[in-house]
Amino acid sequence: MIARVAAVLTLLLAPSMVSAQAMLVDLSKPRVAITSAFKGADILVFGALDAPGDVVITVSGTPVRQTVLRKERILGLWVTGGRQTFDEVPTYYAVAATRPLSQILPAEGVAGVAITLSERLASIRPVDPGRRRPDDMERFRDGLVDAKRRELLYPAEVGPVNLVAGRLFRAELQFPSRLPVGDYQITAYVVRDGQTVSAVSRPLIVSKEGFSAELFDAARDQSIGYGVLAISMALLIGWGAGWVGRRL
Amino acid sequence: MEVYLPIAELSLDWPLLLGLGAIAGLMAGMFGVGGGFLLTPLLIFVGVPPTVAVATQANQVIATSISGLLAQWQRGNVDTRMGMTMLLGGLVGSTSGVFLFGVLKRIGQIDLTIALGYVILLSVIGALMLVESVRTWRRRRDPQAPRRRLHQHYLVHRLPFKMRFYRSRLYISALVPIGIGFAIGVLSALLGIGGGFILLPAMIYLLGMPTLVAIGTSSFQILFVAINVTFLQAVENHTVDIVLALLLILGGAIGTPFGSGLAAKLPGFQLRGLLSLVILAMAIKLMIELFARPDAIYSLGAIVRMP
Repeated sequence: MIARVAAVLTLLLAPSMVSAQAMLVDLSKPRVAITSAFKGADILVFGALDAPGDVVITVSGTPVRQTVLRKERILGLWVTGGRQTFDEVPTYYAVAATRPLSQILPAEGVAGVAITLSERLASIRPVDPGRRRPDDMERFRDGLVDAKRRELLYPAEVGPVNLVAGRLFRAELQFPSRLPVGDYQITAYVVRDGQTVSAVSRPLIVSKEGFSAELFDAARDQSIGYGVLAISMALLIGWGAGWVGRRL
Repeated sequence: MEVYLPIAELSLDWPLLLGLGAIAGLMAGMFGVGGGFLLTPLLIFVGVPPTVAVATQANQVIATSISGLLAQWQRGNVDTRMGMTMLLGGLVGSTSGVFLFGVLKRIGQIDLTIALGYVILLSVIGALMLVESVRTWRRRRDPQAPRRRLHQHYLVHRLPFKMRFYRSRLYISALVPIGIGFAIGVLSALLGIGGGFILLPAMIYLLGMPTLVAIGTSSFQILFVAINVTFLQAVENHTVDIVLALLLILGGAIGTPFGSGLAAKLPGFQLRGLLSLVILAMAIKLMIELFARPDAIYSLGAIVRMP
């Protein structure tokens, strides 16, 4: 870690190289391994600017096709009544910034750049939009955000980015324990006078690893073998326990 | 003390899961039925997704029924011909049940189906057990009280395709055992139960089988239906959690001998009366959850990753 910061600093101090890039960014780890003991992860994003400015960092999970379910009351029972599918929904989305976004960015946002969650979600597309009234569609959109927020996948708060001497920045990104797998993109923007002057992206790969990941994959990819294994295990232990039980 | 369940995708205390398995084992030892009908709702209460609870429960039933079947086989209590006939219906029923399970899962109604199924199942079992233990208690106080007739047969003797079942000493239509097997098969697939507590009364009172042969033959049907359900759930719906199953089965192996020991010492009808109240309480809890306004109206459904 310290070696990496030192490397960034060395790059920063070499004037010929810095002129090519307004910002340097790196992550403390390029991957997050979800093992059976996974309780969330902290990833450090750090870097340097060529001149003082504000830094905004967005973290976006893989865009997927996500179905949202709505419970409705039928004969007194709460049952799944409505469903709406959206395309291009990020599995995870979080923002961090050096100052509150309202002080850094214009209220109407920066043209062509999605930074806040609502700007990012402007690009999600409902499947079969003609089948639902616009106000009902809006309720499903809000329901999607609420459901994601409950699972801590769309944090409502903008996280902190620490700026040292106006040039060096670091941000601790905290990921929750129920993190969807996929290729995440971490993008750092330099903002000056309400304009993004530079943007650098780094990929972050979130994948399941270890024994439980192998079992999960086997249940899907080798489901016949998995089923036979489950049955044999039950037969063997059941028979063994009966055998022991009769001799006790 | 937590263990990650790879298919349920959550971490739970493993001593808790061993304990739940032991409770089911205790039930199996005490009353001779698998206890799956208690285990699945308990798993749902601790947070296991209903689909995983049901499919994994079928896997657990295999372990509880194999040793029972082997013991019954040695004593000659298995009517193979009857078992095969019922199994014919059982395999067709459980196979269609697993496919129905898949369809309900895709349209987002499987959790409701499982919950409703258990509300009905637990209410009926709880009520029957309560009535039965109250009746036993009355008869104890008043030995002259009228006893019920053991069994009546009407329909069973009039239907076509009659077969002779030597060990059960029956000459009845094959359609009835096939139909019973089919119904239990569908229930096994949808609710994860072995179905012994429905199957046994049906075999004794509906078919008129001798009790010992009915017990032996029912474990034959339950084992092979559970194997079929586990296999198809694993292949079709990917909902069998092998880590969860292992813990439940190990817990069951510990609990079963204690259950048989307890059954010999404790007075049966009082225990059954108590258990029936527990079962009714669980049915009410499940029912309240169906009628109460959920914490969240909107929830996340299936994810499809784009290529």
